[in-house]
Amino acid sequence: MIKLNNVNKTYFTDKIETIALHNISLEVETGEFVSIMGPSGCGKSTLLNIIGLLDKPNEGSITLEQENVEQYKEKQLAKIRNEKIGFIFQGFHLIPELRVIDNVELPLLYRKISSKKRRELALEALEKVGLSARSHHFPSQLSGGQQQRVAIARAITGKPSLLLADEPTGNLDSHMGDEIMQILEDLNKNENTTIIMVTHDDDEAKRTDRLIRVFDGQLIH
Amino acid sequence: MFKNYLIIALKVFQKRKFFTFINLFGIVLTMSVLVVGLTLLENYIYPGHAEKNHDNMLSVSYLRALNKERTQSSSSDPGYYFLNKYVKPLKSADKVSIFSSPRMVSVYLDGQQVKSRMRLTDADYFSILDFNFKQGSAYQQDDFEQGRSVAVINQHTKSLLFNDGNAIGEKIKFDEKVFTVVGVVDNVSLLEQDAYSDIWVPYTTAPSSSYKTDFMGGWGALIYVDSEDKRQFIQSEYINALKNHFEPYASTGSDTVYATVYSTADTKFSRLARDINNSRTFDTGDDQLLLMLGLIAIAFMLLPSINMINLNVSRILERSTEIGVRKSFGASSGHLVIQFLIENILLTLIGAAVSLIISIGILEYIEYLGLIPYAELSINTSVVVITLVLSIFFGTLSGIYPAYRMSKLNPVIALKGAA
Ligand SMILES: Nc1ncnc2c1ncn2[C@@H]1O[C@H](COP(=O)(O)OP(=O)(O)OP(=O)(O)O)[C@@H](O)[C@H]1O
Ligand SMILES: [Mg+2]
Repeated sequence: MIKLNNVNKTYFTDKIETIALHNISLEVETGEFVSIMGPSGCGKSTLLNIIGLLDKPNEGSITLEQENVEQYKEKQLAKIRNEKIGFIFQGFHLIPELRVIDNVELPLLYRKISSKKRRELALEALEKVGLSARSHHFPSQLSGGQQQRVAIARAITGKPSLLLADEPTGNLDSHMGDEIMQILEDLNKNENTTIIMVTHDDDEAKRTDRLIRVFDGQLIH
Repeated sequence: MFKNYLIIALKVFQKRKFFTFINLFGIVLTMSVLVVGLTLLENYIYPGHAEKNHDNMLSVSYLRALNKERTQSSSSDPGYYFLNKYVKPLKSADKVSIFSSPRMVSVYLDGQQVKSRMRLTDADYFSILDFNFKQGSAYQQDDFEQGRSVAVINQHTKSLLFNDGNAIGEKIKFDEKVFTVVGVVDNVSLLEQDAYSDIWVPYTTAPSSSYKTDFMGGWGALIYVDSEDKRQFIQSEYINALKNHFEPYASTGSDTVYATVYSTADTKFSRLARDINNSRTFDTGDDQLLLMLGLIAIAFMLLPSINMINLNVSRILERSTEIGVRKSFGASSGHLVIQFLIENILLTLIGAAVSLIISIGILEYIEYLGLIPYAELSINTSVVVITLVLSIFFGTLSGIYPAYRMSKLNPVIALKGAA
C-alpha cells in the first residue's frame, strides 16, 4: 500500500536546523492498522504529513499504491489526497462556519459528483459515526467527542483507502476515546481501510496490528 | 460546485458579520456615489422628455471669437445674428431653430406675481423638441411671423397661476406685455438644457429688435436631421463654413473686429465635454471626457478595492484552518483561488445591489430638494448593467491577490497556525 524509502525531513528556521525525520524506511500493507508512538516532538506528525503527501521530504521516495509520487505536481498530489487519503487531525479542524453536513461533504466538493450524491455520501458517513441526527448543527454546538466523530466522518466520506489519524483520541476522555477506537476498528475490518494512527495510549496501540516507535526522528525496532 | 461555493460564501458572510459589514460599507459608499453620478450623466446624455430625439439633434451653444491678431477674444453663448447667419443656412440641416436662453421674468396675473424663466423661440422649436402638451398646443409659424403675443407655459407655472383649472386663453403679463396662453406642457428638467424653461414666447414679440444684431450672447440653436448619420456631416459642414466663409464682424460699441470664430454643433455628450474640458476650439474633447470619466470611476473604486485587499490579506490567517483542511482533502490551488474570488465577487455584487437601492433613495431626495429643477431621475438598465460590470471587475481585481496568497499557503503550516 505505502512504502517510504530513506525519507529525511529537516526544518530550517532562522538559525536552527531541526531534523524532524532521519532515514525513515517503512512499509505498510493494504488493510493494516498501524499505530505510531513516540515522545512529543519526535516527528510523528511530520511522518504522517509526509505519508499523506501534505509535506514533501527533503530526501527519499514515497510510493503509494505502486505510484512513485516524487515528481508529482501540486495538482496531482491534491487529486491523490482527495481520492485515496483521509485525514483525522490532532485538533479536530472542523470549519466553524459550516454545518456538520457541509463539513463532512467537503472532500467530495473536489470530485465530479452531483450535489445530491454528495449529500447522500455525507449522510452515510455520519451514520457510520452515529451522528446523523446532528447533521445541521454547527461544530461549536457539539461536544469534543462528537466533533472528533464529525472529523472521522469527513475523513471517510470519500471512501479513502488510507486513513491517517493524528492522535484521534488525544483530546478526549477514555470513554469517548474508546468509542472512536471502535469506529476505526470497524472501518479497518469492514471496509479494509488501511489506517495509520498516532497515539500516546499503550492500550490503544495494543489494539492495532502493529506498533511503530519513533524516537528523535528515527524508527526504533 | 459553483452553487456550493455561493452557499459557503453566504454562510461565511453570515458568520463573519463584522468583516462583511466593514467590507460592504466601503463598497456601498463609493458605489452609491458612482451610481448617482452615472444616473445624472445618463439622464443628461440621454434625455427622455422634450429632448428625447437627441439622436437627431445637434446644439450650438458656444461661440468664441478672436480678432485678427488673436490678442482679443471673447467667448459665451452665441448671439442671434451669428446663429441666423451661420447656422440657419446649413444645407444638410432639415430644420433649424433659434431661441434665447431662459431669463427670469416677473409674471403678473390678477395682482399676484410669480418669478419664472422665459425663453424666446421660433415656431420650429416646438417641432424639433418633443414637448408633451397637457393643454392646448404650440404656437404656429403664422403666430410667429405675425408676432402674436402668445405663450406656452409649463405645468409648474400653470399650477402656480391657475391652480387646477384650464389655462388656455388666459392672459398673463410680463415685460409690460400681455400674452395669451395657448399651450401647457409637462415640466422639463434642467438637464435638458435647450428645452428647459417655464414660459416660451415667439421672439418676434420682443419689444426691441436689437437682438437681431447681437453677435454674441444669449441665444442658442438646435439643428434637426431626419437621420442620425447626417449629424457628422453637418458638424463638418458647420466647421467648414466657419473656417472658410466667416466674414469678419465689427462688434458694436467697441472697435474690435472678429476675424476668427470657434463654434461647434454638439451632441449632448460633446456639449458636456466642452463644458467640462473648457474646450476653446473646434475640438470639444469628447475622448478626454470619456477617459476622465473612466479614470474617475477607477480612482473612485480603487479605495474600497484597496480596503478589500487589505482586509482579505489580514484575514488569511483567520481562515488558515479552512485552507489547510481544504488542501488536505484535495483542493488544488486553482480550486481555492476560484472559491475566494467567487466570495469576493459575490460580496461586491451584493454591495452593488445595496448601492443601487440606496441610490434610488438619494436620487429621490435630490428630486425632492429640487436641486435640479424638474428633474425626474430614474436609474435605467444601462446604469444597472455598468454598475454590475464594474462591481464584478473590482471584485476580481481586489480578490485575485488575496486569493492567490491564500491558495499558496502550505497546508501543514496552515493547520499548525490554527491549532
Ligand atoms: N514547520 C516547522 N518548522 C520548524 N520546525 C518544525 C516544524 N514542524 C515541526 N517542527 C519540528 O519538528 C519536530 C517534529 O515535530 P512533529 O510535529 O512531527 O512532532 P510530534 O511527534 O508530532 O509531536 P507531538 O506529539 O507533540 O504532536 C519538532 O522538533 C518540531 O519542533
Ligand atoms: Mg504531532
